[in-house]
Amino acid sequence: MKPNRVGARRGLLALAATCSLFVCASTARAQDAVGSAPAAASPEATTQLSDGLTLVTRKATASPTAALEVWIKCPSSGYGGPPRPGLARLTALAIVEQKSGGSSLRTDARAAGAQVAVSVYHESTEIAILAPSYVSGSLLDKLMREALHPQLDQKAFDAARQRLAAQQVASLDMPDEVLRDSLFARIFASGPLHDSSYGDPKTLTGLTLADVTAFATRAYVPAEEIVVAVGDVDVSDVAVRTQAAAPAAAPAEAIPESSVASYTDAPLSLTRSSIDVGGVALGWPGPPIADERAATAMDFLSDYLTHPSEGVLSKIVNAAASGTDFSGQFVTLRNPGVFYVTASGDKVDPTITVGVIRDAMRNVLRKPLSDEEFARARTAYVNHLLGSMQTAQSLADNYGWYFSQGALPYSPSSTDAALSGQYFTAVQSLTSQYVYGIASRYLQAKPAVVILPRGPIHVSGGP
Amino acid sequence: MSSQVIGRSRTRLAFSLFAAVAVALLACARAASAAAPTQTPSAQMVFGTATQVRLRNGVIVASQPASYLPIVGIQLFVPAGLAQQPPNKAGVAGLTAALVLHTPVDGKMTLLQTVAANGGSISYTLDPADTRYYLECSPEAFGRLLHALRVALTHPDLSQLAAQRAAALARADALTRNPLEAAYAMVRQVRYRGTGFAQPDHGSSLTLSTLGASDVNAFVTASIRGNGTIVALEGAVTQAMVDSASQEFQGLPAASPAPVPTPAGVGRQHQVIAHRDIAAPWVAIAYAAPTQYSPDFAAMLVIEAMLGSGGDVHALNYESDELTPTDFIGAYYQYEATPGSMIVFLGGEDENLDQSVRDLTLGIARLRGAELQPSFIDEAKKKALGDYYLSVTRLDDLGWLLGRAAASPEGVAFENNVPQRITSVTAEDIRRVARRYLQNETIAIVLPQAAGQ
Repeated sequence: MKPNRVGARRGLLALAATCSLFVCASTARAQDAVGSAPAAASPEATTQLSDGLTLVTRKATASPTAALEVWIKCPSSGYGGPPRPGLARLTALAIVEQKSGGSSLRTDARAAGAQVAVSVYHESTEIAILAPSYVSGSLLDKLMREALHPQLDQKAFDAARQRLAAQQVASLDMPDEVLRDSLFARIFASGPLHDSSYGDPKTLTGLTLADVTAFATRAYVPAEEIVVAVGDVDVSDVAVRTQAAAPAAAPAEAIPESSVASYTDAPLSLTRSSIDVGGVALGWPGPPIADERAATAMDFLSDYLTHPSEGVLSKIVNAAASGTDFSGQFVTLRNPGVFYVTASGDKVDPTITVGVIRDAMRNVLRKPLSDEEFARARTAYVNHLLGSMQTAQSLADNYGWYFSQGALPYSPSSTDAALSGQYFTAVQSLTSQYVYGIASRYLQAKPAVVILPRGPIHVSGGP
Repeated sequence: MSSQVIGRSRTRLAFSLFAAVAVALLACARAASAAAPTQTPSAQMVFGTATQVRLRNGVIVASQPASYLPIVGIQLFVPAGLAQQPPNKAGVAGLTAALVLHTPVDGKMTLLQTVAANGGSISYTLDPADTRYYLECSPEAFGRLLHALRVALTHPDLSQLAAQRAAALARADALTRNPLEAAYAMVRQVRYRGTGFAQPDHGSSLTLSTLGASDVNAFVTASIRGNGTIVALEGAVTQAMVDSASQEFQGLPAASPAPVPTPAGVGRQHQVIAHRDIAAPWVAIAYAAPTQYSPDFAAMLVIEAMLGSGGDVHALNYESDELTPTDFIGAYYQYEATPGSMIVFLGGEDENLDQSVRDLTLGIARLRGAELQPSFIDEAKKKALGDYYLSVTRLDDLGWLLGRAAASPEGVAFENNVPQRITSVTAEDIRRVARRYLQNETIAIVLPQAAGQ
């Protein structure tokens, strides 16, 4: 970290009134310039700097708070060579712990009354701050200093390793995490989607400061990064600050591909020993994000089947065993996406529950929904989705996620009160027959199945 | 749908900062003062523009539009809170609210089903002074769903009584086993004796078993009043919606609900002990605290930050569709009850519980008497500001704050005045408020039960 350089660049860039670093105007301005697009202007401003760094800003002023996020496209288990699960998480945690200028991002955020969070997914890392808007400028500076220019020392590494060790232990006590990670390991034979982002104690022991530094150098490059600022923010101020913090261009490295395994639908029993509930996970590879209409249909199906209170599958599973923690989701990924469900709880008999879920899926998907039912379900889906995107944080998250999957304009966040934008256009294009076709293609295939036997676990065979 | 939603839940932070409290307070005597904060909330940093109207019957309709949002959030405050329950009828508020949600409003479809069929959601929260119903829906469905809610509210279907009473019994039983809730219940029993808030949220098997249709009817009749009813609208709100809400509730009787009995003051220390099937003990140490409309409110928010807030006022006062918390460490400021309470929860995985209790006692003593270092106070004020703003980002929370503000003597301006007051808190304010409220503590201890207990 070289704080002086940041300050110097800010001074220089403040003079550059024409924002010469920007190679693209905001999407809204771009549309104005073209003058032919009848669609409403995007609610966000999207820019890409000449070094490749992407910036999305959006005013959302219901609450005087701001969600400030940096997302990095990167494999959670490293590039090439033997996979090192947990590497991306360890790196992000170290960045948050790194003390530069006498304090770390974590301590600065807390002292300012803000919250800092690190989320690591198979193919992306998110470092986020939720802050009262009056401190958002200085915290954005700090976030970008640390995340866009990672310079890590041994103290930060040690603190991060301690945190990750604690997270690894905690994650094993969360049945849905264990089931989901194990399911992905079953579906994908290799690549970042195969490995848990938490890693394991053995891998953690072998990781060094040199490893995370090398990973940060390869992964944290502007072309693979996005800065997202949503909420009660000054859009032009954020742009100036981002220009000032922008790192030099660096070559981007492709994320290794994850290959789908040739699994059967025979259940795989886990060997985890720290959870005393029963559980199951079933997963089906789905369409890639590039097939936006199909991916949207899968999102619709996910809501129709697994919405916590209204999902038809949720109701059936809960009726079979009350108190079951049931959830499901279509995870939009580059290729392929994954639809999965998990169920866990004291009363869950894994074998019976697998049968209940598979029977219910077959029954529900055996024919297209009636037009009336489809229209009702689509309206419900839209409302559920809008309800989940009402905060600055959730809007920012969705921008970050879709950027990390290479489909930023398709982000559901890119909409307004009139429900414009690519995503909601795709929702409106859905028909009952089309959704049925997608369900037949992807969800009537044999699923990957993982079970967590109830009680003390002695079964072997886990991934 | 994006996968980053995985694992993301509403903010219910559990900071284990408590052990650091006394250390931090002690540190103020020796450490050099850090630079004073340079950033404070500006006058421009405010929640969205809000308005309120008071109908002739006393109903308040408040609105705070955010035109970029495509959904509407409605918080409906009904003066039918836990404290309004007759103590021997504890559970009637929750039972009534559950019946409202299960009342048929569209043919055979209940309110819950009707809202769901329109893609919306509805839940209730039992507050000390209100039952709050939260409805979230599309602008198109607003009118008919608000009407359905009002109809169910005024005429809950009593044919569901047995089923909902059984469900309430199950909830009450589950809460009894929860060590956190057990500690909180013991504190309330001492501090709110003589009011319905002294009893557990869902009542007890004893009170629930005696509740009948006449009790529900009596509770509804007593609470469906114009005065005390607040409709707070957030999101894609239009003037037509405000008018529609006003029209919907203008027919409520104008009378005020019966005043809530005032609990006897706690004039001495109390210690209560219970046993549960838990691995490690829990302790809740409770003090008096100002209510939200008191001039001392802001100073107590800063004290809460100094003690290490474990979560906001809703952490133990959650919506009907949320899970009961099983973990909470730190300070919990219940300022919606009269009088308020400051409760510090310790235990769970804390392996040094005795030391933590001693640290708290020492920390409280220092708040009452010691010179606090300016940098320590400034940091606590920033945390208090952060907690205040960050606890209100969703429409339901915004609607809650708007409604609370509308009911305050200042009206809707209250929500923007509180941060300014936090900024203005002085060392003397903290000392004065600590001396006034932080004494005569009630200590509730939940111990692991021995075999056979």
